[in-house]
Amino acid sequence: MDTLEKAARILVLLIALAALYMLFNSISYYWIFMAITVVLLYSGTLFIIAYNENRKPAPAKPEEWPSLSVVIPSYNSSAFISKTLDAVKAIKYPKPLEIIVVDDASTDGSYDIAKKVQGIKVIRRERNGGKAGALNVGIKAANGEIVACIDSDTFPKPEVFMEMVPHFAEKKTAAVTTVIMVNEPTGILGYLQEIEYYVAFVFFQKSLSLLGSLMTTPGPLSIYRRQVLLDVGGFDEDNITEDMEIALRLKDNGYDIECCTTAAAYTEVPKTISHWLRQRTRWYRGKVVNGIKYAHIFFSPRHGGFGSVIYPLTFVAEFLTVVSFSLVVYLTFSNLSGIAAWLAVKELPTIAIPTSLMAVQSSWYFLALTLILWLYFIKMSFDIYASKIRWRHLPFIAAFLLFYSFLISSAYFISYAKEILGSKYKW
Amino acid sequence: MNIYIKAAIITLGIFLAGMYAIKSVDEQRIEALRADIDSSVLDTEATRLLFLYQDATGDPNSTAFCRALTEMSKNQMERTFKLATQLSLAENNNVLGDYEMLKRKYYLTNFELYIYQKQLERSCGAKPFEPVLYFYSLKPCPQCIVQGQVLDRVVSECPNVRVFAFPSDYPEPVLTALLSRYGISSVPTIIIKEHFKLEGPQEKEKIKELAGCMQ
Repeated sequence: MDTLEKAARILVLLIALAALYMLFNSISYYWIFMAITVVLLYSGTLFIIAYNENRKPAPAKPEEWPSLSVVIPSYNSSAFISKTLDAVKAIKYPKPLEIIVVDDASTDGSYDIAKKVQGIKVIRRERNGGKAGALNVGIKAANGEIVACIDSDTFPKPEVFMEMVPHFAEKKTAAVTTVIMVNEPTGILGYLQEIEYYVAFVFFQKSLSLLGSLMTTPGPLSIYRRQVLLDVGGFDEDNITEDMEIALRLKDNGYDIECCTTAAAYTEVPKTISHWLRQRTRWYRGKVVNGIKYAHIFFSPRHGGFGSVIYPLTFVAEFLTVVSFSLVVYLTFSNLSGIAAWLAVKELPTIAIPTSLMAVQSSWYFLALTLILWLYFIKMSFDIYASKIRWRHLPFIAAFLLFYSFLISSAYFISYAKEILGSKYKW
Repeated sequence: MNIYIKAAIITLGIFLAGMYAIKSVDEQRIEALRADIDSSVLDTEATRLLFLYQDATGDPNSTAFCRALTEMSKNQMERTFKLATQLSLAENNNVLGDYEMLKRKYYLTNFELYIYQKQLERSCGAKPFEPVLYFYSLKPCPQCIVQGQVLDRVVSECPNVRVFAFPSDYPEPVLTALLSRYGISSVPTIIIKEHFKLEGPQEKEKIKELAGCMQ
């Protein structure tokens, strides 16, 4: 990028920040919280209605099970690859599975580890070409009717394919997704993500699929009709979120994506904030990049409710998240002078504890509503996946409701800023 | 019915119910304030009548008049400063309620009280308490909140010091006149004994000392 473009991008970012600042100075902040509440309420209502009305009974097992190949792109995955391969080899399927590991020029010996495993094929790429490229190599080399794309740090449960494949009942279905869970969560961040994955991959994912609006086939584990993947041109090798891109491309070509909630794959998640931030920045920037690439979906008659309501709504929600994060930062900074004042007068502030309904800011009641809604989402997710909410979950559910959203909104803010600035991608 | 429209109707319903609930809470808050402010207005009315009566019938320096005035002032001061805090609380917490009238009544009543203090000093040579003038902003002003709480503490520790709080950005001619008289250019600002002008958040002890706190 030349300096002129860089300067222009910085200017755009500054103008955006200035606009936000002027917005916060002119309207009261509760309107922003109200807007977020309305969007959340609407999405929640939509999901709840969809889940209750559009649910279909579990699909029948096929008379003839299709042949299935597993493609595992691997890059410097020595920490997990053997565990992943053990889990994949343990998957039950009426036909023998073809397992292909595509090593993307690893330098940590994961290629050698994979080569030693019996019963699998290993393809070695001499030059690193990215995950999407590795997937494409594997898909071309595979023979199965169905191809399962699994991350090298993901451990599927043995029943995954027998639960997921029946969802291919309709010819229009080109891909089936499943529940992704956090593997052996550790630390606060791990447990927060555990709750997040429950809500995102169980209730949200299922509801979206019932609305014909599933827009990502998760990288950790998704299965596709191999021929369809080849027909649409395989994964986009220039895209940072190829799992979202392929889902949108499939939808754009008239295909459906189904969601199975009776199986799960456990995946490794970031354990440090910096790693987490890198992952999220990639995801959220990818959302924007794909939104621009697939902008023709917005309000397109071909895409029905997805194009006219849900897809645009996700961008509105993300934008409001960025605004609310900026608002929190703005309020903190404007209250800094108050903190300085307390230091100047050498006194401690009296904290007023609200003793009646009157003493509480009215918009807090809307906040209470959003918390109740989220609690419902969490409960629904655990119920659908037939999992019990245990005592150990409770403090993290509280932390998730009160604190994780701030973390997420900061990630969105950073992602948007980086996208405007056109920063380089970091994996 | 189309699921998107159904969801929109339900959402609208919940949202409107929420707004209605919020409006009710806001109105209740305003009602509670209204009673207090109207009471204050009547008090100043009573004081005004006292002056008029004195003017119409008697010697303005009479001790009975001065004693009555002093007594009324003390009582009114208690109520007015409490009202100020209640009003700012309502302002922060209210979302939908409208109480512009109420605010105006309050500011004018407060100002009238201040004038009576000056009159009391002139006519009766009496000063039942030391008035401290405090100027704050209606716009978000974290330093003003700090100064307000400090002044609360001064008032509770010094029975002879009372605070008159005036907003620096409310469009009322008497307030503008007051601002220009003391040359108020920033908030928070405190005026003590007519000639100490303190700008920015001030320490409690300093205010107590300058005002001559008698504990």
